[in-house]
Amino acid sequence: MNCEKARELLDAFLKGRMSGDESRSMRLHLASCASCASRLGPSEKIEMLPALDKTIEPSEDFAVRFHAKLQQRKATMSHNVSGERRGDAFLFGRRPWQLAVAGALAALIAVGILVRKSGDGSGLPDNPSDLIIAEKLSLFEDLPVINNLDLLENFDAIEKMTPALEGLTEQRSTK
Amino acid sequence: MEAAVGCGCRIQMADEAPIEDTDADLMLRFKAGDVEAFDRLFARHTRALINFAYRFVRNRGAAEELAQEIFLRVYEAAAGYEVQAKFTSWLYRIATNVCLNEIRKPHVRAILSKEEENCNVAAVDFPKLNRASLPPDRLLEQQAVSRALSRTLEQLPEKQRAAFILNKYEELSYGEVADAMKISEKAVKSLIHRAKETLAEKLRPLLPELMNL
Repeated sequence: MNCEKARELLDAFLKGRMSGDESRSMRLHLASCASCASRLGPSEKIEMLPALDKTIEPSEDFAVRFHAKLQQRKATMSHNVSGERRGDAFLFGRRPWQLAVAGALAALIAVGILVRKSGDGSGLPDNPSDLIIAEKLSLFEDLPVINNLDLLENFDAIEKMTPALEGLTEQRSTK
Repeated sequence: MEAAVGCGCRIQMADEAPIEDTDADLMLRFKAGDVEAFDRLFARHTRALINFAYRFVRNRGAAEELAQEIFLRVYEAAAGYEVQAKFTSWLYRIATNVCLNEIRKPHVRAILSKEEENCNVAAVDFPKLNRASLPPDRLLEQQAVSRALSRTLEQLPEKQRAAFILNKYEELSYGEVADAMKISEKAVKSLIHRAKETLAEKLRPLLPELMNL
C-alpha cells in the first residue's frame, strides 16, 4: 500500500470498514511510514501496534508432531470406545437363559447372606420384641418375683405347694 | 505453493497462489471422509493459529502445543460441523476457548509471569517490517514497543484481550468476533474500545516513539 491510498482509506480503516486483508496492509504501512502514522490521533496509534508485534513461523517438525499427536489421540479414543463396548457386551452379549441363571444365583447368594446374618451368633435376640424386653428388664428389678427367679426353677417345691394353694382357693370361694 | 512436511500435512508458503476451495468447502469434504481436505485446512491456518496462540502465551513451544490442540479439536468436531457462520468464526471460537482455558490454569499463569521477567528483547523478530531499513537504535525502540505491548496485552482482562487479538491481529470483523466469542456485536465493540483505552493509557509514554519509527 502506498501513502496516497493509505490516506484515502484511513477513515474507513479507523471505522473498521475495511476487509481483513486491507486492514492488515494498512497496519503494515502505518507501522513503517512515519508520515502517514502522524495523521493518527493519540488513541488511534494503538491500531498500528499489532503490526509492530512479533510474529513466529511454525517449526519445521510442527506437522510431523501434530500427526503423531493425532495418531495418539485416535488410539486413545478407539481404546476408550472398545472399553465401553466390552462393558456393554458383558451385559448385552449374552443369551436370556444365561442372564436368568445369573439372576437366580445372585438371589440365592443374597438370601444366604441374610439367613447367615440373622443367626450370626452375636448373642442378640432373634425376635425384635425380645430385644425390647431385654432392654427394659432393669425396670422390673424391684419386683420380688424377679429377685427370686431361681425359686421358679425348683419344680418339686412348686408341686408340693399346689395342694395347699388349691385348699386356700376353695376357702376363699366359700366365703 | 504448499510444502510437504512428511506426514500428509503441508504448510502453506507465503507466496501461495489463490486458493479455489473455501474453508467451509474443505471442512465439509473432510466431514465426508476426505482427509486431504483437512491437510489443506491445516496448511492454510497453521501459521495464523500459532501466532494467535502466541499472543496469549508468549512462548513458541506453548503456542505450537496450543495450535496442535486447536487442530485436534477441529478434527474431532468435523462430524458435527455445519455451515452456519463463516469458517474462521467457527475456527477461532475453538481457538479462543483453547487459549483462554490454557491461560486460566494456575501453573500456566506462573510460567507466563516468570517468562515475562526473563523476556529476551534481542530475540524479538519483526518479519513483517523491513528491519534493514531501520537504524539499530530505532530497531531497539521498536523491540521495546513490542515488549511493552505484549506486557500490556497480558494485563488486559481476558475477554478484552481475546476481542482485541481477534479484531486487530487476526483481522476478524466485529460480527466475526461476536460469533467466535458467542457474544453480541455491541459487546465486542465495547470490549475493544475498553481494550484500546487501556492500551493507550499504559503505552502513552511509548507512543511518541511509535510516531518516529
